[in-house]
Amino acid sequence: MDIDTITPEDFLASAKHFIEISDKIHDGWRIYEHKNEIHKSYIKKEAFITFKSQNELCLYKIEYVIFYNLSYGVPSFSFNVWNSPGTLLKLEEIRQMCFIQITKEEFYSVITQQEHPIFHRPYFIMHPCHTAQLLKEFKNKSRNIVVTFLGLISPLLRLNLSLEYGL
Amino acid sequence: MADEKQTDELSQAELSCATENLKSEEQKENLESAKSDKNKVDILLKATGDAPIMKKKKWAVDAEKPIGWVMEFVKKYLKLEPEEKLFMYVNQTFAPSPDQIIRNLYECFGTDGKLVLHYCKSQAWG
Repeated sequence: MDIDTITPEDFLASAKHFIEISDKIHDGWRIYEHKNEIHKSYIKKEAFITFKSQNELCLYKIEYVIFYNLSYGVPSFSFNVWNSPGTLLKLEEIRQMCFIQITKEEFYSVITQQEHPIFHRPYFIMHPCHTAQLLKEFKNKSRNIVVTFLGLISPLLRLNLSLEYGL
Repeated sequence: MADEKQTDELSQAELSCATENLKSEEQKENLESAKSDKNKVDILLKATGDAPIMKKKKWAVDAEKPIGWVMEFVKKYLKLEPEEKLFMYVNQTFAPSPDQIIRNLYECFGTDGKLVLHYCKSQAWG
């Protein structure tokens, strides 16, 4: 077995630890454990964010889901964003909410709307092909691989991950 | 870092010429931190994986600057290609968001009077 990958057991253990921290600081992440097929376990957070677009303050509902990608053997990140009337946001609108200035080509090569492997509904999913490469650098040093993995996302999306996760 | 003679502190204006100021840094790294200089925080940059190492690892940076600013500096210093991504981790676990202020990070994660940051590069996201 490829040593670069993360096992579903590792993922679940890290996810549980992540939830413990989240519970302690009331961050709102919840774990959904699948007893028979543990690779179908995932953690989810629903949050409301405000974002200023065209001088108008808008409220959005975001759902973040971190699940285990069985093909790549790494955690994967997926999300959906709705505006206040309840419409799903387009990828271009999400790009404009990005932390960093990022070109269309680059952003579109990272995030794609596709069928979610667990929910079978459309979600924006971050491509997992480079995740293993980054995670292997930290695999035996990181205290929590889920937290390390989320570091990949924080420059792209407004995840507002609390500093407590790093302690 | 105690370095009264030659300031190698980072500032926006010095960013471009920072690479030229790096000749005799080795002996300065051994000097005691300047405790009087409250607006500066010592950071120690460590490479992980295939990221190139930095000849000068220890820097004194303005505590009020965001971590994203340090990341930009390291990118320039290492002459990374624009498409290469740099990630910065504390405790080899947690990557703070780019708008985190260095003072906060230092107060949370600083050890022995300095903040240790591990960096690694990647060709792309995802």
